[in-house]
Amino acid sequence: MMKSRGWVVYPLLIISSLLLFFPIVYAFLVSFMSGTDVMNRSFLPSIWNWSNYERVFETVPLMRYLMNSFIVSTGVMLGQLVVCAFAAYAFAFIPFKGRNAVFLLFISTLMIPWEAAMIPNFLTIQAFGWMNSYLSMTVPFFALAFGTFLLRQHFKTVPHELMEAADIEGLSKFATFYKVVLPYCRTSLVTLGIYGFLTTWNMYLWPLLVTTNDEKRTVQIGLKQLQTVEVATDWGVVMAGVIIVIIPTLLLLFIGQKQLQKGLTQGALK
Amino acid sequence: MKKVTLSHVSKSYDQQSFAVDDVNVEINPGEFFVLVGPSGCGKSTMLRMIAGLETITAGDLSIGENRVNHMPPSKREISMVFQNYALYPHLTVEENILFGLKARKMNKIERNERCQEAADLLGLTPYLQRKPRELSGGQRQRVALARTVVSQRPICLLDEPLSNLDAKLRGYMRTEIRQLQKKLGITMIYVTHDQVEAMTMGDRMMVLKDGKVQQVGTPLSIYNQPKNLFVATFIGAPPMNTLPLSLSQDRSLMFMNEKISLATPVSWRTLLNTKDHFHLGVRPEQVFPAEEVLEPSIKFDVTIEDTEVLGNETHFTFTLGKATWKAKWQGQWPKNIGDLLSLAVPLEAAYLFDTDTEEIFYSGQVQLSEGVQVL
Repeated sequence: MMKSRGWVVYPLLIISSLLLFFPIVYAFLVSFMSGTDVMNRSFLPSIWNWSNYERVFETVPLMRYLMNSFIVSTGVMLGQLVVCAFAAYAFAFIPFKGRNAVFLLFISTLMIPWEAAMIPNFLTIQAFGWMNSYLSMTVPFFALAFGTFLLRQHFKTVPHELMEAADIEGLSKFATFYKVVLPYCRTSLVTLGIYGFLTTWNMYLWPLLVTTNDEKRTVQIGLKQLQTVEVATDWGVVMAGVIIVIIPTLLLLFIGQKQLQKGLTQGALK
Repeated sequence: MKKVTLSHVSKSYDQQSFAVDDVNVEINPGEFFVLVGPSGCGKSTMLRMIAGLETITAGDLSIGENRVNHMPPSKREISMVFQNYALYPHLTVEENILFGLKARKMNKIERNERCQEAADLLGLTPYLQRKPRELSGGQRQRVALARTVVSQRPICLLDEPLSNLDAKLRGYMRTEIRQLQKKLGITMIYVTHDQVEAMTMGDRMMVLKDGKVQQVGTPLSIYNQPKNLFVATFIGAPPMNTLPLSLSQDRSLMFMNEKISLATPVSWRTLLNTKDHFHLGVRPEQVFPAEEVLEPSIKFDVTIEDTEVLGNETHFTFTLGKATWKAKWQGQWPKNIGDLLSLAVPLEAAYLFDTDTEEIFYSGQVQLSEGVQVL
């Protein structure tokens, strides 16, 4: 029984993993190809060479972009964790009048597409004079309804005895928050952190809107620049850029996954 | 050392019914006081009000001379052990034990000293660097107790601390907690639904039902002189046998049902003059083989419906009127289901309860001597 199921499941898994991986694998291969190889649509590069990687760094200030992206993504990640955790704590533990109504209102912002709020946001940022600054790319994303919801749901699973025990020991509300609630919900915090970092890293439209010079641009815009700076796009160079941009996100996922697993196996008391 | 005083303490969640209804009690310093009752009787609510985790709807709670109704829990000088132990899963045993002391900003040397002491006392020294999840139930329980020990607070509240343990460990921890309390000389207020725990651990106990205090006293006085039908059937294992009886016009016969009746003992007739109905209560260990009872007694014949031989004692189950009774005899009795038994209950072992109020109005033992009688 198990064996016959394996015969069905594994080929399916292999096929779907090949389908999923193909773009990345092919991007990796193209990044080593010369212009002729790309034109010929060959699958493997005829000669493996690093020249595309060298040229990426020559054509655009990629290191600068990478650093900008890193600063912005880290900023958003931290900001989101702090703001969402505070908001979630209030929604989970502090009983105030109309809490559920406020929470529903908060959650309902999930249904407004981000694009719809883009123009008002842009005008606000402009009025603040935040164009071409890290602030414009980070602050608008701190309050995240999804993140608040995620954390609130996890906070609600904290056994109330833990809170009460802290109460009896004389911990302040804030001490309870960071000594009891946050460590207990580490898994969710890691999840949210990774999610926040990756979404910000991959953001394209908003950074394009609020930045006008290379000084503050992020890496995704840099990639786009690679396609337009020359008359005929050199796909080898573009793909080399793509691979470089993917690396940090992959690293983050690997590190984060370990943390996530640790968090999951930590297990609460019965 | 401070005493805990509750006067007219009540708790209502919905402004209509009371979860705890007008409780008056004084808990002495160094006393092991047990709150016992079936689930939903308000015993945990009462404990949580003493802890300050629940607001008090009406009445006064004092610790020492101070009224503490609105004092935050941390100021009440109490420690608490929860049913699921409330250990922090992300901290080691040592950090768990010291959690409260760190919060109180105690200096490191004294902190570690106290931790060592508590760990030695409870046999936790080898486990100090482990996480709670790597411990067994009993060990977790001891970590929770160690937190109480290091806090050195004079009053400790325990909310059903043994209910997550298996029977053997429970018996063991019972003695351990009791010894700990005697060694530290602190006041313990202990909530349980298990009457065995209440009987074996408490200096005094309070029996609660539906938020109302049924009886307060030493375990033996409650066992020997239950105030009403509920207390009588709640305390003791197996519980007290009861039987509703109705009286004939001249009070000479007691009817179990339409057909079967017993002769009313002569000494009871004046007692029963004003009643039409009453409940008879007899502890299972007071139901004897008829030939062994020489003093005045009620006698009846029954058919055995079930026997349980426990090694040192034997339980017989039988039906009397509409009620199922048990008899508990010492030793091993080779009887079969369906056998006839002639039984007798000495009059002095009988308890009589009013059917309407369920209050006791006669107990053979009280007639013999006032106060506690040890059998």
